[in-house]
Amino acid sequence: MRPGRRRLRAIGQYVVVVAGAVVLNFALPRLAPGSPVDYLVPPQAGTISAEERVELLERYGLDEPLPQQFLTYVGGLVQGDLGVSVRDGRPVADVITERIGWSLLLVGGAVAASAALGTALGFVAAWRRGRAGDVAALIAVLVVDALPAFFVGLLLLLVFSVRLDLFPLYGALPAVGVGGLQLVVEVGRRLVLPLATLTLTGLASIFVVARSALLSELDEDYVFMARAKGLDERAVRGHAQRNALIPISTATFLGFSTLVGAATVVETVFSYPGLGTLAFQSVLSRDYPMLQAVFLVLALVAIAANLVNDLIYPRLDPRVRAS
Amino acid sequence: MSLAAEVVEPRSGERARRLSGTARALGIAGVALLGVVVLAALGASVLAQHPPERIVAAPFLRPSGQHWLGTDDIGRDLFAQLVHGARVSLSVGLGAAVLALGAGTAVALVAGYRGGWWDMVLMRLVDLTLTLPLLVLVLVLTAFLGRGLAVSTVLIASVLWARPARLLRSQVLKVRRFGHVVAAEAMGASALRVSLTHVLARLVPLLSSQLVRAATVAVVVQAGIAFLGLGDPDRVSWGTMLFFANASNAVLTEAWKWWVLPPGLALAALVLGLALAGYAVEEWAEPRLARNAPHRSRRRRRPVEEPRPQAAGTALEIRSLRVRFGGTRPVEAVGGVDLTVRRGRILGLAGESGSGKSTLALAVMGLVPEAGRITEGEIMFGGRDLRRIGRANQARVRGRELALVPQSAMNALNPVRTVLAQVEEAARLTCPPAEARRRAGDLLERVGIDPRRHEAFPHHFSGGMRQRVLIAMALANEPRLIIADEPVTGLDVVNQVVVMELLESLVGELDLDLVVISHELPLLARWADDLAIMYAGRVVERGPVERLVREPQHPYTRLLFSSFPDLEGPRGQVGTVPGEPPDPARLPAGCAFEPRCPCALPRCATERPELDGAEGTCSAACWLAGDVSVRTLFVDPAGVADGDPG
Amino acid sequence: MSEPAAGQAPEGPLLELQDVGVSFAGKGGSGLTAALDGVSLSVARREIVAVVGPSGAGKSTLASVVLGLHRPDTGRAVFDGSPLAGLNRRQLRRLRQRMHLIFQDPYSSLHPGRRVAWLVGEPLAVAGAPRPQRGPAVARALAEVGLAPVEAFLDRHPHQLSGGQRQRVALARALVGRPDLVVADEPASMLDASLRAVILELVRRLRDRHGASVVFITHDLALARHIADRVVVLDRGRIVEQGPADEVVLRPRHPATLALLEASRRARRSLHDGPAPAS
Repeated sequence: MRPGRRRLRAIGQYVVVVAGAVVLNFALPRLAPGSPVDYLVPPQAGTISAEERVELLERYGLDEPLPQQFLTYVGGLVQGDLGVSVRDGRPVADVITERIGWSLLLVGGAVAASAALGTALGFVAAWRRGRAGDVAALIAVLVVDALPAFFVGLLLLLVFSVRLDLFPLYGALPAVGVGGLQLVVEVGRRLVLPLATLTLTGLASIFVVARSALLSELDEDYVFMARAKGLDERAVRGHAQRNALIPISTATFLGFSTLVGAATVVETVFSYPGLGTLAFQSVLSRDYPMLQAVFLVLALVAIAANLVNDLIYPRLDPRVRAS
Repeated sequence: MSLAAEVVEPRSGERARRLSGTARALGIAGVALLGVVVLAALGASVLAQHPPERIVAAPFLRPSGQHWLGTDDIGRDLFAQLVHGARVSLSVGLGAAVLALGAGTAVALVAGYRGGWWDMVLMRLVDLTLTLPLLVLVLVLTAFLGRGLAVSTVLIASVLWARPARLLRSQVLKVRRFGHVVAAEAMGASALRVSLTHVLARLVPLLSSQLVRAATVAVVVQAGIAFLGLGDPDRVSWGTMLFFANASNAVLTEAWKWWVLPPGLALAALVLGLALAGYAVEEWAEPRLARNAPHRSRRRRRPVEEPRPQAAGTALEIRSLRVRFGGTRPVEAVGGVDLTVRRGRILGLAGESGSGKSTLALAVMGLVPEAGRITEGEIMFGGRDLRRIGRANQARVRGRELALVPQSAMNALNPVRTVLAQVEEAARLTCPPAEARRRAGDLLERVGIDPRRHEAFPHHFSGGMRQRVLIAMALANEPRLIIADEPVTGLDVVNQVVVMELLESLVGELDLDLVVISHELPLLARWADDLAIMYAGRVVERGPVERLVREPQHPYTRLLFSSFPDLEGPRGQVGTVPGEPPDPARLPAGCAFEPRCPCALPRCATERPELDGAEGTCSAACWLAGDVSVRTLFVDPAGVADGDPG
Repeated sequence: MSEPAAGQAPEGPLLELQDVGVSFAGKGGSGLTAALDGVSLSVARREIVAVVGPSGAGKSTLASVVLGLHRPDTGRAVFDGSPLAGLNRRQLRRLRQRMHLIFQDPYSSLHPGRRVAWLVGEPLAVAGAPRPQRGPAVARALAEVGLAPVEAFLDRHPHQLSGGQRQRVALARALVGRPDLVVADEPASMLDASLRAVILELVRRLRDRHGASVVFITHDLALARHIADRVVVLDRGRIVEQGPADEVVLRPRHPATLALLEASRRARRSLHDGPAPAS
């Protein structure tokens, strides 16, 4: 496919996904049982009369024709207006800005760590194919992967915080303000457990992909050729591993999306002040505008990860480069 | 000539799928775990002493005889919740998985098979669904649309279908080019029939592994949503148990032992069971992941006596070589081969599939695959027996003095490295970097590749050019002998001439020796000086090409010759070798060709003839070799009688 | 311009391609490449036509157009008097029931999960023949291709057959429905040379005994010469030469054919130099 055509198609894809998320967000409160008022408007004390309901609908523009509402909604989005939290009245965008950094730190770190560890373990298992090392690694990874993320979090919390008192129980920042290196250390201490949990969650799928990718490459004719032309085992490995990185990189970036989801529950366990905990609290307090905004932001993060993957892929695999 | 084919014993199919020991063990463990969970779910009412959703005692009770796991924060029995929770997880997990796979398969078939507009729209939908974070999406949908079990199942399925749809579609695109699918279309079968009867059948393995995987994800997602407080308010599930436990800070007290641990482990058990079973299913679906167990190589007994020195004037001397493959059907692929490559003469090694010629080449190079072993014989090269010098030294000979140009040029080059880099890599074995690079460039030019294309990647070259790159690679370290295994198969005639002429000129120019392996006898007859014909793992005839072509002795050779029709000459009939090719695992005691031989004598069935005759003379492993009267016995191989059917 | 083959039946040619052109979107990216360009070909009844040419010449595309699997972008294809373009999907399918395709690769051309009896009977099932009629027809076809005793083969799966046996099954399938046209796409190229003669003989029987026309695609000039009545030479999507087999192969006029012939001569050497064995 022509490079221009390909780029156009990629952009088109992203437009579709973003549009889809926006439309979904717009549609949900209007599809849900009951009236949108129940979802989008701060809860009123007591029950509201029919006139008050109509008045609310007018005030929030919920009685206008749908296309108009949609335009208003999109217009607001573009300007950065994500609505108002029905819990405390603050602009949603502000709350999210406070917290997004922490989530990115956590998820980004976990993606990197799980990719590195998963690849290393997967390669080791593939080279020891069928023998004790492979089977042990496989079983260990499958077992860890079977534990739900929040359960792993709870266990780690139990062991390292409660019992061993090594790490703080919750939060990301220390209660008392500290500066410089001390701050980094304190943040680090609070990051360790959630990061470890999330890394373990993401490890298994990378491991599986790395292992099967390397096994696939080892079957290829060019690996046989590398041996046939007299290269030593290390060089042969290099060939195969380098090529195996292609599917692994794709799996890593696509796994971003999964880890974003898992982070939602993991943050909750550790009361880590990211978007995940925010989502949880929003659910509990029925703060739907907040919940919707979190969803949108997380969707954008996942889309960005896909974009990075699409940009990186041709660097790894010359076959898809525009000639 | 009768057209009848022999009835051959059914072979255990090369396509039959078998699981490795690991996969089988893990699969069984998985099914066992699943069984436990299923039993708990089915027998929940019987196992639990109390109903799970009713308050039956005081809250926060410790485990006791009446409440095996104690009670939760409002006084409900935890054990009852545990066993009943199995029902929720199983029903949502399996329900969502089945729905998702049903939808996914339908989408894959329509998008992949029908293509066009349908494909575009459906794939955009798939992209959208896949990009959005799954758990968050389900979370949002559940918050708005409802938390009941049935609704949950449908919501999870509505997000889960996308990944299987994409994977299955890729498979559909691959499968629709398969011969039997195209043949069915060509026959006039309807699209529905083709997709259900032909395409779907090929999807079953992938479908199965995706089904298990989807169930795993569904279980985890449902538990996650419940943990966040969005579980079905009327049915307690494992996730909900953990939600209440967390909300009551059970982690901080002793209650974690009976409140946090059991539901978590139960979830883990179900997911692990699915994952283990899924591992076995995936290996069944993708047999490449399971390779043959390597031939357990016992300590190779070093041959005791010193071998005879290599004969003078020979580049390679193979004596009594045997190669055996293990596994479920042990096979002797090479059964005692004596072969010599005389200096200055190109040897052509001919044979059909299963004759052992490629295995022979691999054995000489020390590249016999793990499942095989050289059991006997000597490979004399450069005055030494290559079998005796140890693996490390063999590797040092490979690619340097002894080089291979392998079959399948299409895939023998690493797709992510430039051709120059790969030839350079070979040259680096004997030169420093700068010189290696220069030499690589020179070699590529020598084989006819324009310098402007040296930095291109393999996929930019046609088959013929890739073959020439492989020849350049083989030359990188100034070898003394090159073995070219089917160097022109798959190339069209024009390219065949180019490559063969190149090889011939290199032989002259660089004073190297060459072995060409091919099943195309007319090709070898043109380019080789000496010819050797292999059948069922042994050499059955050999000699200088001039004489061998004029007067082949062995019946197989004569019949084989007749099956290559001339371009000129009388039109009409093409010869054949009657019967079926031999099964290498079950060779007869006598001559391997006897069952198909039109001249067979009684002794041929019981006594195996050997090749005699010195190198450089024609000799055939046949009791009738040299017997002039035999020729008159010979049925005209060019005639194919219009025999009765059957 | 295509000449009608000598001795054609009065009803007219079985198959006619008139100035057919097919284009595909190019891979590297420079717009469209022509897979076929201005191809005019006619196949008479009971005729074997070989289509030869180097790889990439467009032979497989030609096969697709002949079978109605691909609509040509320009020109038209006419089968037994009916232009293919004018037919709706159902009519096209019915027409295809009078044709058959034999594939090159014996390993992927048979549905792996089905038995030989089902495989050979499939053309009949597609055409709607009632089940009781299929059994005897299948048995006859198997016997004719030399897979005997028939009972031993009916229940086998493809992976229990050798490559040569699989191609015989493919040929039995081609016989059973008594098609008017058979397209054989390099049916012997993946088999050992010693098995090719059987396939060739069976292809000839398709014409001799069952009255089918055969379009035989191959890159092997010698094979084409031995099997075909007429030879058509394809080069880069165009027909550069066509005529009686001996004429085209031994006395070619077009440079492309000459090049092909020359290369064939240079690449190989005859194995039948010596005195022919007396019979």
